[in-house]
Parts: sequence; C-alpha cells; structure tokens
Amino acid sequence: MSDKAERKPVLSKACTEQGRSVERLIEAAVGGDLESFGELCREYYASMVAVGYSVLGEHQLAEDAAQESFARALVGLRNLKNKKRFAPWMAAICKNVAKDMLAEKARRINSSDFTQVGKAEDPDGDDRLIHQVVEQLPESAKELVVLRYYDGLSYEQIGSVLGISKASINGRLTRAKRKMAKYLRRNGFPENRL
Amino acid sequence: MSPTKKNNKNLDELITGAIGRDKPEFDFNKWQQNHKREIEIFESQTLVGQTPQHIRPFNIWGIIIKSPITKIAAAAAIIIAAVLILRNGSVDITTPVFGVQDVLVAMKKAQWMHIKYEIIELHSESFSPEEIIRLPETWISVNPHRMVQIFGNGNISFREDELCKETRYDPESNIITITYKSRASDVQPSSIENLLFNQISEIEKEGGIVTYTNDLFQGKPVTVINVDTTNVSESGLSLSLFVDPKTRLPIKFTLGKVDGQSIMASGIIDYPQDGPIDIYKLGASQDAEVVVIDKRDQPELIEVLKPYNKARENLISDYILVTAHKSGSLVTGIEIAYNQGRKQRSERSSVRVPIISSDDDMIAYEKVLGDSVESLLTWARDNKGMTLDIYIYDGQFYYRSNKDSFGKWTIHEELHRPERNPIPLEDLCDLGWPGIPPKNCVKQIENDYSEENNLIAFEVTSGSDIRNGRIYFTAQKTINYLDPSRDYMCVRREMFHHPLSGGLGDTKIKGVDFDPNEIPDEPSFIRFVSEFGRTENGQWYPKKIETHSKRWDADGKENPLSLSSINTLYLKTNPEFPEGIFDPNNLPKEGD
Repeated sequence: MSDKAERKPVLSKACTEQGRSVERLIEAAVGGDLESFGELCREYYASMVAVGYSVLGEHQLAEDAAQESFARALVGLRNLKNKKRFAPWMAAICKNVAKDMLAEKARRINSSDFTQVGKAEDPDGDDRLIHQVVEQLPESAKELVVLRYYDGLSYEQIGSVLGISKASINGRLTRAKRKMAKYLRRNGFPENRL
Repeated sequence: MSPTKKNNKNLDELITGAIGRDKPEFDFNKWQQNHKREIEIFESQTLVGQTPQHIRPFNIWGIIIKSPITKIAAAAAIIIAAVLILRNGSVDITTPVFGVQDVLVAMKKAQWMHIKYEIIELHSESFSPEEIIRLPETWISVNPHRMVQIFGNGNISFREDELCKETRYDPESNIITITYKSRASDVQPSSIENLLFNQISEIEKEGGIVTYTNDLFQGKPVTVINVDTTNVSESGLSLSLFVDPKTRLPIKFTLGKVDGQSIMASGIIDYPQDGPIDIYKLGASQDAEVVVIDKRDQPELIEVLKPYNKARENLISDYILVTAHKSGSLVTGIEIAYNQGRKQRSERSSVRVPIISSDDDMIAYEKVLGDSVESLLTWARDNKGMTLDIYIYDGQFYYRSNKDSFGKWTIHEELHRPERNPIPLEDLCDLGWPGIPPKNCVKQIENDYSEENNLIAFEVTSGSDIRNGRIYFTAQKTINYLDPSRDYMCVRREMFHHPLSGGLGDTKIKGVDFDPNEIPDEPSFIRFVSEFGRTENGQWYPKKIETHSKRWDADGKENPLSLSSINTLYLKTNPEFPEGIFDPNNLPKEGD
C-alpha cells in the first residue's frame, strides 16, 4: 500500500492556533489587509487544489487553478456579499478558473480527454481503474470524492468548502462509494480487495 | 470488523492510493510575485473605496515599480523620461540650474545609452534578491531602435525593432533563436516617450515633486534631480538622477525610499559612440545552433484572407444558436448562444444522462431533448440540466453566474480582464469563421486535401505558452481550410502539436519560442464540418461538426485518430430575445 493511503484526514487549525478565526481573517482581508488574505489562501489552498483537480484531473494545473482563483478572489473580494460563504465562493471561482483552463486547453489542444496531460500522469493498473471509476461519477459525487481523498480533507473542511452539512456529505459519499464498488466489481476487480 | 467497515476501509485505501497526494503547500510570497497587478488593484480599492482599477487614472509609477524585473532596463529608461516630462504644473523646482529641455535635447543627440546596474541595498519585498542580481546590463539606441541586454545567467537578448527581429542566446543550451515578429513589440525604446507624454496630465494630477540639488559624483560636480513620488506612488519611492552639468546628460540614477537612506538600486549611465553590433560580440558562441522562427505575415495571404474577413464581418449578428454536444451516442451538454450585435449570452448546461439499457430507454432519452431549436430551448428553460453556467458579454465586460451540481447559484462575478483567462463563449463566428491571432505566423499552403476539395488552406503556427517556467500549451500548427463556395467558411481544421516527453507541465524546456518546425507531420486533432445548413437569406453555417483526436495509453503509446465528439447546431435567425436577457443585473445571484 502506498504511503498516501496511510495518511489520515487532517483538519488544518492554522487559524485557530493563531487565535484568529477565519471569519476575522475575512473581515480583515475585506478591510484591505493583504496578510490576512494570505492566511486565508494558506488555509484553503489544499481544498482549492482539490476542487481544481476534480475538474482538471492534473496536479500541476490544479495548483495553478487554485492560485489563479486566489487572484480573482482578491480583486473581487469586496463583491462577496455573505462573508460566511467565503469558502464556497472561493470554490466556485476555482471551479470557474479550472473550467476556463479546461476550455482554453480544449481550444488549444482540442482534445476532450487531455491526451497530452495524460501522457505525463496516466496511472497504471488499479490506480487507472480507480481513476476511471471516479471519472464515471456524476459531477457532484466526483467533487466530493476528490475533496475527501485527494488531500484527505475532513468532513468539516469539505462542508466548509461546499457549504453543505456533514450528514449530507456522509450520505453522498456513501452513495458514491457504493457506485464505485459496483463499477469495480463489474470490471472484474477482485472482491476480496474491496 | 464488519464486512461493510472492511469494505469501506479497503475502498478508502484504494481511492487514496490512486488519487491521493501530499498536502500541497502554499507559498504566499511567490504568489505575490506572480500577481502584482491583482494586488495593485486590491490595494487601490482599499485606498479609493470601491472604484475599480480600470476606471482609475493610469499610475505610471505603479507600473514602473511593479514591472517584472526583466523589464527593469526599459523601466529605467521610463524613469529617466518621466523626469523629463514632470516639468510643469505641480512640479516644484527649487534650484533650477538648467532647463530640463536641455537634458532632453542632449539625450536625443546621444546615439547609445548604456546602463549598468549596481545594487547597494535591498529594502523591498517586491523583488527577490535572486531577481535583483539578474538585472541585465543594457544598451539602448534611439535611431535605429535597438535594445540589447546581457542577463546575469548569461542569456543575451538583441532586439532590433525596425526589423521586428529579436535574437536571443541561451548559453546553457547553446542555441541562438532569431525570431521575426509580425509586428514590433509593444514597448519600444522609441515609444517610451510617447507613452509617457500620453500620460503626462495624469502624472501631473497625481503630483510628483521634483527638486534640484548640487552634489559630487566621482569627484565631479553634478546636478541631482530628485523626484519624490510620495504623492504618485503608494510605495513612496524616490528617484535621484545625477546630471553632468556640462553635457546635460544623466550619468547615474538611484531608486530608493523617500527618506533617501535606503537605496534599492542604482545604475550608472554612459553614452558610447558605438554599441553592440551583434550577439556574437557580446559573447554568444560562434558554434551555437541557430534556430529561425519567422512569424511575419505573407503579403499575398493578407489578400487571400480579405474575403474571409469580409465574410466574418458580414456574418448574421442576431441569432440564437443551440449546440448539442454529443459524446458517443449520448448528448452530454447543451449550449445556447444568444447573439445580438456585440452583445452575447451563453448558457451551458450539462445533461443528466440516464442509464440506457434498451432501445426504448434511448428513444425516451432522445425525446426529452428533441431535435429542434424550440425543443432544446424548452428543455433548457425548464432547467433540467445538472449544472448551468451563464456568461454575458455586454459589449464591454464579461459576467457570469453558476448553478452548481447541488442546484445552488453559487457565484456571480464580473470579469474585467478576460484576456488572461478567455471566456469560452462559442458563437457562430468561432465555429465557422474563427479569428486568426495576429501575433502568430500565418502562411498559405496547398496540399492534396485543399486541391481535391477546392479549398483555400493556410497554416498558423505558434510557439509554446510558458508561464512561471511551466508549459501551458505546446507549440502547435493548425491548418485551416476555407470553402469559397460557402461564404469562405472554415470547414476543416487540423492541429499538430509539439511532442513533449514530459507532457504539459514539463519544466525542462526553457525557451518560450522553441522551434515550431519540430511539430510532427501527423495531426493529433481534426475538426470538420460534416453537414451544412443555410438560412433563408442564404447564409451558410455549420450544421454538424465532428471532432477526431488521438489518444495515448497509460504507457504513452499513441493510438490513431478516432471520433471523440459530434456537435449538432440548431440556428434561429432574427429571433425575439427575451426581455433583459443581456442585462448582467438580471443574472442569478449567489443564494438565489
């Protein structure tokens, strides 16, 4: 088993450790404090990379999407009406950026399956099958699965980014995994490994 | 452990092993380096309330100080010119030793200006020490316009703007790349003054303060022109320009904080009779491989493209275009483009694809969507799509709203600078008469396909797009085929991509303009119109567009071209548009 599988979801507590809640950071950032915005970026970077990855399917580009979304968010920060929805707002921007990158790439590469990216990152064996099954999932389920397993985000973090409850995450994730298991069985994946 | 728990654990490990990765670290300092413009906009919002940057006066000092470091040589020339321009209005001249006009005249007489940078102290987070060290030694000549730079890493750039030619030498790869551009670069030494003269009123309004003092430089008396930018720039920088009172030429400048104590950078300027003749004289190796990239347009092609461009201009402008995107046998997306003059609105829906296990299922599925503009519009208005992205272009700015896969409107944003991430609005023009990027190399060609089908073929090549040392797009060649019998519609496009061992994201390739001639003979992508439509007024349009692309296996093995998607277009001309459809204020807002 790879090291990645050993990792446990970790809830980042950078903000609370510094005695500054995310909400206070948002207030400060909206007030013009760039450092607070930087703190927010650090706090949500992993989540945004995961969001980007759910659209782009490529690590490096997902990081670029996250960084570009921070740039857009910074410029539009004062348009954010509901400060409590900062993370979902940022995630939506990140999705937009990723989709733009996808569209731009499709325009330039004009290949819906990211052939050239695939060359660099195509996985082997089981991983490849898992990738396929994740791709088969509906968009919302795919997003959840990636957020959960890409960087090992906790339910709290996922809930904060998607703006949904833990119970809802649990239910959707369970259904998504059931679908995945079914697909894997259908494709001859050994039952004893499921 | 219960079977369910075991199942979950195994599956968790499988998924984590397949898609999991270490938590990425965010480097805020680096991010700031790469997003100076956004930070400037953010900071300007802080200072002036909600006023967006695009309607604020141009802050030339902001641009000078926050320019990428590789442009610092040009910025130095701008600084000098700026001093010459800040000569009246709010400018306070306390000790005018001689007229600024005299300095300007003297500088124009000089054939070459040579700037050698010295860094004394660093007190700015804007530039990293590594970047500062790489400040290039620079020569600028006025007539003919040339800019020559030697960088700290040994790279040499020799730009001859009148010839639209740039020669670059990379000692690491020992390659000299000569690029002929279709037009001169945007910032030329000769245009710096013009650029600044256009900004003069704004600079004066913002009020830089200029004072004159006397000092010694290398034991000789000099007149120092001090520019206090406190009122002009948030960074509170000062510039001191040391002018030789005999020649009236600036011989040194320093850039630092207003208190005069902390100097960020200084440069020594001299005015040699002769400058560098070519790149070899500056140290480029005689045995370096020379690669020539010619991006100049062919004059005859411009003639050929005239009817094409005319057809583009005369294209119907008021219409609704519905595109059904089909992947395999199923429609997976619907895009509706509303077009009224320059105004555009695009609604992109993903389609919830049901489980198809019988012919009856397929018939029912197809019936839901229908096969006409009306049925698809009805489907879209009933909001049966899984997700919905709406884009509006109001003739000036772009706006967008998203409905996510949970049915919530999650974002409403204005985009003032779509050039950085172009908005994917695909209209009739894009699909049938795509624009030809002016900066790319375009030339007419003839091949078997164009001859057999009586088509006009032209080839467009472009270099790779490399940002922050990473490849975003590979170099590519596109062959476009125009059909003169169908309003010069572009009926087929073939794309050829530069082969990359490492794929996108490869950081090994250093040059931005590596040789596009290396791209293969076989296309990796073909898009063509397989069915044509015609409006009542006789306007041709693509009715069905097929895309074929290559795919690569996990082991990198290349597979032949295969069908990847079919787009069916439904066009309705001169429609009645729903009220307020192009008004961004009517876009759904977050939480709607």
